[in-house]
Amino acid sequence: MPDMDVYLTVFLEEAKENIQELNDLLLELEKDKGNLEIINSIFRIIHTLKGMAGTMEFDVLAQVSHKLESILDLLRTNKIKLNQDLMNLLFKCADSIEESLNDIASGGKGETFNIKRLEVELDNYLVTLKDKETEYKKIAKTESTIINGRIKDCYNNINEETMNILKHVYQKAQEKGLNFYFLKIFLLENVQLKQARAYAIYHRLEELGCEIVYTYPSVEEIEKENFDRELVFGIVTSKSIGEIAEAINKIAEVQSVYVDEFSESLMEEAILEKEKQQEENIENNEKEVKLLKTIRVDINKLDELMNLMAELVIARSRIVETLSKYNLKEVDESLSQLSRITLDLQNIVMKLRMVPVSFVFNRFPRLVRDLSQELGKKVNFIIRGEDTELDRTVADEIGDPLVHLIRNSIDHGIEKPHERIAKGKPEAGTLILSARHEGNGVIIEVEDDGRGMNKEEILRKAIEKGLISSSEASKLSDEEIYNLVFLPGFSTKTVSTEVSGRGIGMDVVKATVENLKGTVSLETKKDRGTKVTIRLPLTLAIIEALLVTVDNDVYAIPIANIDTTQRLADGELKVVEDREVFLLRGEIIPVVRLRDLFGYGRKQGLIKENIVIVRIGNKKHGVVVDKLLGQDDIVIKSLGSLLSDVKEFSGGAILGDGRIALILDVASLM
Amino acid sequence: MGRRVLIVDDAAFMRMMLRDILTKANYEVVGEAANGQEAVDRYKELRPDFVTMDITMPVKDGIQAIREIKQIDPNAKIIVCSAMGQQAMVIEAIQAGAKDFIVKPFQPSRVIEALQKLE
Amino acid sequence: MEDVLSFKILDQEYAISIENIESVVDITEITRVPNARYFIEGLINLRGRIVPIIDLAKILQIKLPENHKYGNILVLKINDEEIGMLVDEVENVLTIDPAKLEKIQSKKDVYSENVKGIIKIANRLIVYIDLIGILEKELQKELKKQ
Repeated sequence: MPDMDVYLTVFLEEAKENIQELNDLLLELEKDKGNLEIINSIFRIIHTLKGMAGTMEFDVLAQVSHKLESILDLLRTNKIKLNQDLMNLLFKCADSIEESLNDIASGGKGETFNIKRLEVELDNYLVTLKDKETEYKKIAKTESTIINGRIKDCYNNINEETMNILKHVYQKAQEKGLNFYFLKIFLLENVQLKQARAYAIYHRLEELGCEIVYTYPSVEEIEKENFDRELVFGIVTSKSIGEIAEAINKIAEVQSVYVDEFSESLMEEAILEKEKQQEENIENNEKEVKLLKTIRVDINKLDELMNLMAELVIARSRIVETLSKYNLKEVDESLSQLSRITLDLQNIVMKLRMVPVSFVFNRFPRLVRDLSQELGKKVNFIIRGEDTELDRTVADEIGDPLVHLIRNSIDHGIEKPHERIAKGKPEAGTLILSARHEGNGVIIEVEDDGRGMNKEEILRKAIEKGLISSSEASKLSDEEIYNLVFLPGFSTKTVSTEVSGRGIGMDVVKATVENLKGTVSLETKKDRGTKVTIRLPLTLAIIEALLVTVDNDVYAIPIANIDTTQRLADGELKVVEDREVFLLRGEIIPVVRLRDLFGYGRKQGLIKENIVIVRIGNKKHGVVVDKLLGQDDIVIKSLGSLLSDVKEFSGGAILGDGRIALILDVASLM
Repeated sequence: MGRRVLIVDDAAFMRMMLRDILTKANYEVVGEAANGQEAVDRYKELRPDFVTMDITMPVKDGIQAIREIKQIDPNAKIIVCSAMGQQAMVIEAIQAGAKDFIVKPFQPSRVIEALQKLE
Repeated sequence: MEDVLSFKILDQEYAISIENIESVVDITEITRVPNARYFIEGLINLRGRIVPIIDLAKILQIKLPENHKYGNILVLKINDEEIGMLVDEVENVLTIDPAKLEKIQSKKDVYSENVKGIIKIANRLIVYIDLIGILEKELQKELKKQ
C-alpha cells in the first residue's frame, strides 16, 4: 500500500518530534512542578499523538496515550498533585512511547512489551485515582463549600423559565427541611442501551425516595437516546449527598457521579454566563455542527451527477479540441485550469459514491461464527482494511460472492481441530478477509490456512463432468487445473446440498466478479491453504478502454478484458472446423471478426489484420477489428431497454469528439 | 469463598460464557437454569446471592421470573442480561425488581463491574 | 380531451400523445447498433446523453424512397428513458376528443394494431398512434422469443 507508507513516514516524523518535545518539557516540568503552561503543552502533545496513533490503528499506542491524557487532564485541572512518583511515571511513558515508535518504524505495530506493561500501570494508577477522587469528593461535598467546576455546568442548560421553577422548588424543599441536590452522572464509554441505563438510574433515585424535579437532557430526549454519556438530575430528597452518590455509583456502567447541593447563585451565574457566551459561540457552534452534518442522497441523484460530470468532461474536450486549432496562447492556462478542475470534480463525484467495504464485511463475523460452530471447526476470523472504499454498486454486488468464498474456506478449506492437530497446525484455523487499494482498483482477498485444493480431486471431477478430456487433463499446468473450479458446471452436482451452505459454485463467483468488470484468481498449496484474490475497479462508471473502429464506427473494448493486440498477416489465420484460429505462443486462439458479427461484410485488400486478444474466463479469443485508435477513459452509459436484447454491447460511451462508441461485451463473443 | 450466583439463560453457550467470566472473577456459580420456571425453582432451593437473568426464554420469560423471585425474596439481587434492542423489556425488568442490567455480547469487565457494584 | 402532437412522415400526418414528448431536435449523426431490433436506427448523442432512435416507418411498414432523409427527431420520455423518433417535420399541437376518433378501416394489420384512431380536422386526416403500446409490444415479442 503505497498510500499508507506515505502516511506512515509522516506519522513517524511527527510523532518523533513530539516525543523529543515531550522529553524537553518533562525535564522543565520536573524543575517547576506547578507550571500549568508546561502541563498544558504536554497534554496537547499527548492528545495529538493519541489522534495520530488512533488513525494509524496503532491501538496500544493510542490506548496508552488516551490513558496518559486522562492523567494529564486531572493534573491540569488541579484534581491531582504532581509528585515525584507521577513524574517518574511520565518519564517512563515518554521512554515507552519512543520505544513503541521505533518498533513501528521497523515494521511492527508498536506493541512492545514495555508499552503493554505501561498500559496496565496507567490503568492501575487511574483506578486508584478514581477511588481517591470519590472519597475526596464525598468529604468535600459533605462540607459543601468547595465548588467544583464540573458541578457548576449542571446549570448550563437551564433556561429562565426552568430557573424560576427550580427556585420555587428550592424554597419549598427548604421549608420542608429536605435537600435539593444536583447530580451529574457520567456513563462509561460505549455504554449500551443508554435509555434503559438512564432509566435504571432514574428508578434507583425513585427507590431512594427522591423526587426528580429536573433532568438534562429532558426525559423525551433520554427516551430518544439523544445524549452522550452525561446526565444531570435535580432531586429533592431527605438522603445525604454521600448516600445518593453511593447508591448511583453502584449502578453498572456508571463511571462517576458528582452530587452537589443546589445553589441559586451558581445557577444564576451559569445562566448569565451562558447568555453572554451564546453570541460568541453561535459562529463556532455552527461551524462545528456543519462538520458533523451529513445528508442522505438518493444514489440515482449521484448517477445523474455522474452523467452531468461526464458531459462536462466531454464539453471540455471539445473546447480543447476546437481551440487547439487556433493556437491561442492566452487560453492555454485557463484551459489547463479547467481540465484540472474537471478532473478534481470527477474525483469528488466518484468519491461520493464510495462506501467503506465494512458495509459488506460487517455481516461476516456472525456468518463465520455460525458456520464454524455448525461444522465443528475452530476459526480465527481476521478482517483487514475494512475502511477501504469502493463504489456503492460494486459493494452491493460483491457480498454474495464473498459469502460463497468464506463458506468454501470454512467448509472445504479449514480442517477439523483434531485433523489440524494431527498435521501439526494450530487447532484453530485462520481465515483472513482483507481489502486494500491497489492502483486503480480494489483488491479483496479471502485467505485460509486450511488443507488447500486437491489437484487430483479437481481433475477427476472435471473429467467426470466432461469439462475436459483425460488427454487434455495431462497437459494442464497446476494453475490451469485449479482454475477449472471456475468453470460453469464444475460444482453443479453439489447444488443439492446447498441448503446446508456447501458446494458453492465458484463459477457464480467468477461471473459476478466479471460482471463488475473485475477478475478473480486463486492460489492454493496442499495443507497450507487457499487464497482467492478478487480485483475490482474502483468504480463501474468509468473504465479504461481500447478504442477500435469497425466500418468507420468506433467501439470500445474494456482494457480489463484485453490480453494483448496483434497484427497478423492473412496467412497466419487458419480455418479449423469452420472457425478461424491462429497460434499465439503455442496456444490456439479462435477468432471472431466484428465485421462478420455485425453483418457488415469483409473489407477487401487488407495485408494485415488488427487483432485484439481478449480473455473470456480462462480462454483467450481474438477479435478482428479494422483499426486500433488508442486507449481512453470512458464513462459507461446504459443503452436503455430498447437495446437490452443486444448482448454484444454492455453500454455506450460518448467520446471527446462527441461520437458514440459502443462498448463491446467480450463475454458475448463465446 | 466467593459470592454465590445463579445463571439463567436458555442458551447453553451464554451460560457457559457467563460461568467462565464469573468463575474467573472468583464467584461461585451454584446453579444454572434454562428458563424462567427453572430459575424460580432453583432460586427457592439455592438462595444465591445474585442471579443473572436472561429476558427472552421459553416456558416462562425473565420478567415473570423476576416478579416471582421478588415475591419469594424481596431482597433478591437480580441482574438482567439483555441483548441490544430489548430496551423496553429491560425497563420492564427493572420495574419488576431487577437491580441492574448488562448487555450482550458480554464484556467480562462490565459483567464483573455490575456484580461488584451490587454488593 | 387529449393533447396530441402531429408530425409528418412522407405526406402522411401522424399524431402521438403530448404527454411523452420532451423536445424536438434537428436530425443529427446516428450511430448504428449492429444486431439491434429492426426498427432501431441507432443512437444519437443528445447533449451528452445516449438516446436510441426508432424509425416509425419500419414499424408501420411505410415504404420510404431509397434516399429518404428525415429532418427532425422527436425526443420522447417513456418510463424515464429517452427515446428519439425520426420524423420529416413536426406540425402542431391539437386538442382532440378521444370519443370522436374514427375507427380505422385498413386491411393492414400494422395499422389496426397500433393505431388509436383517425383524427379528422378540417381537411386533414391524422393517424393517431399508440406509440407506447407499440413499444411495449415490441419488447414483449423479445421476451416471448427468449
